Amino acid sequence: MDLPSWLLSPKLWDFLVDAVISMVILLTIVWAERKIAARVQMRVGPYHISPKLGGYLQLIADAIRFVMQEVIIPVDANAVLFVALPPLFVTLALLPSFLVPLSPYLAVLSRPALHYGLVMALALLFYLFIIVVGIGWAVNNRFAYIGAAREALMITAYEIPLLSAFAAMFLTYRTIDPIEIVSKQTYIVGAIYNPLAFIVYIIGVAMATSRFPFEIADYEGDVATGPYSDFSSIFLALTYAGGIYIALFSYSLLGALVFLGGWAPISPGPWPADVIGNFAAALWVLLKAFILMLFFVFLRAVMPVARLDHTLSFSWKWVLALALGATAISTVEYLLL
Amino acid sequence: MAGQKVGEAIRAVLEVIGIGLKYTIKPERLTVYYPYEVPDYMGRVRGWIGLWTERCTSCMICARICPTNAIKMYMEKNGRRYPGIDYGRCIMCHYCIDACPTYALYPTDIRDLAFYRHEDMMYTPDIMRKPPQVPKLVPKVVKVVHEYSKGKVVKVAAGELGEPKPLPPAPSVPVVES
Ligand code: SF4
Ligand code: SF4
Repeated sequence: MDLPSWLLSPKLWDFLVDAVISMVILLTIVWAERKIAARVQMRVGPYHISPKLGGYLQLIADAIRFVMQEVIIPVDANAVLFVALPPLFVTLALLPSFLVPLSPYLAVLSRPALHYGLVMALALLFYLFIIVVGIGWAVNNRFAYIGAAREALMITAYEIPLLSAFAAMFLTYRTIDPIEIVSKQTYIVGAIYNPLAFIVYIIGVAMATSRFPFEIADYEGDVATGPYSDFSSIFLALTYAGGIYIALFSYSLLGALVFLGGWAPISPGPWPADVIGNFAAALWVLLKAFILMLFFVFLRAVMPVARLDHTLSFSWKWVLALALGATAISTVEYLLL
Repeated sequence: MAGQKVGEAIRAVLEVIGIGLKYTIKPERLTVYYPYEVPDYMGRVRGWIGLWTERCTSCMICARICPTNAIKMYMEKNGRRYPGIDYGRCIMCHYCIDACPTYALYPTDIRDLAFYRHEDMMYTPDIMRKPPQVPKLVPKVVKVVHEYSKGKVVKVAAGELGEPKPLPPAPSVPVVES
């Protein structure tokens, strides 16, 4: 009996692997973040839901609580945007991870489009935080305004260095094709090709996804969860509690491909013939992304929160300089390699 | 960042990441899983205060010495006043016990004081005569000892919680008839 051809489609399998594993990673990363922070702070962290699993199911309990809560739309809020933007936020946060391949043959996009997959993913991720500003505007509450303004200031501060870090890597590899980029990292990964770009990437992503010490736009001590003030129930789960982690996943996936060597050194054969090899490659990439995410959430346990003006001057002075340095290194590599 | 050397800042960041990693791998937790575990205070924490009304001379020294004004004198049926403690205010300093000239107030080991309502915290002399019943929340309670030797926190389970200690015998001082 022959399997129907669509069942073996690499697009379908890439989609399934990405969707399912990203959700598992999400569940694990939030749990790990709480556990790590608790360990460093001499506490225990999530425990009472499923104590045998170390409180692993706490997030599911939280999600059920969020979904059960009454949906409240403030009278003064822009109701259409208030309802429409959170789902859009999650969609835009998850979409970039589907635009990049998980192995040379597992990809949602096919060849000519896939060539630009990485750049499209980056472009979408940079749109994402404009939506955060929109969310803050739609809520129509002064804390949300302040949070949105902070986010807008932060966007200008991290986008340029982050973009130049990726651009520098594209210069080093002389290509923007994700598959070729990974094939160039078989022996040396990108983080060693251009360590400055990697550092800029780490700082930029920490800023972009409100990781500590840059949890400034939505720092509860200052602005009552910033742009997400007044969001409750499922909307809060979609933005503050879920969306940012999904964006972190997308950023980490891009970072795993560009800086950590993607699926190299595993080089699987063509798709239907070498199913196991392709899955192994995909899992290897996702594992790297997971480790990157672990580092980002680990920062919560040890970092204080920086002040907005410090962060901006830090970003415009140092991170931008680092990004320029990274570009210089890449230019040298472009000329020499 | 202002006024800080770049090298110092980088070293501080690396250092803090190192400390965090150390604790992530080898946590030193202080958490006590109450009510499954109960810390063993080893006699260093003062507990619930009992009263022998037979000994009390209604001198009110305890009420006056109390730094938080937790003690109020209640008129009883025999026409005399006895102290009652508001545990919402009491800080367990036990000054009242120290000050009482007739040993009418006595200390106990009972430290599990939890109340559902604010009014329950008001102990009147007749309630203070018998120690409060500590409800058993879970079948097996383990006593835990923390050891802070060499800067490390070591949790040592010190066996199951036994029966509460019997109340101290009344010291032999003349008893005032009530
Ligand atoms: S223990 Fe201290 S605070 Fe409590 S009633 Fe006695 S004197 Fe007042
Ligand atoms: S308890 Fe002691 S100090 Fe207080 S009134 Fe009675 S005798 Fe005096």
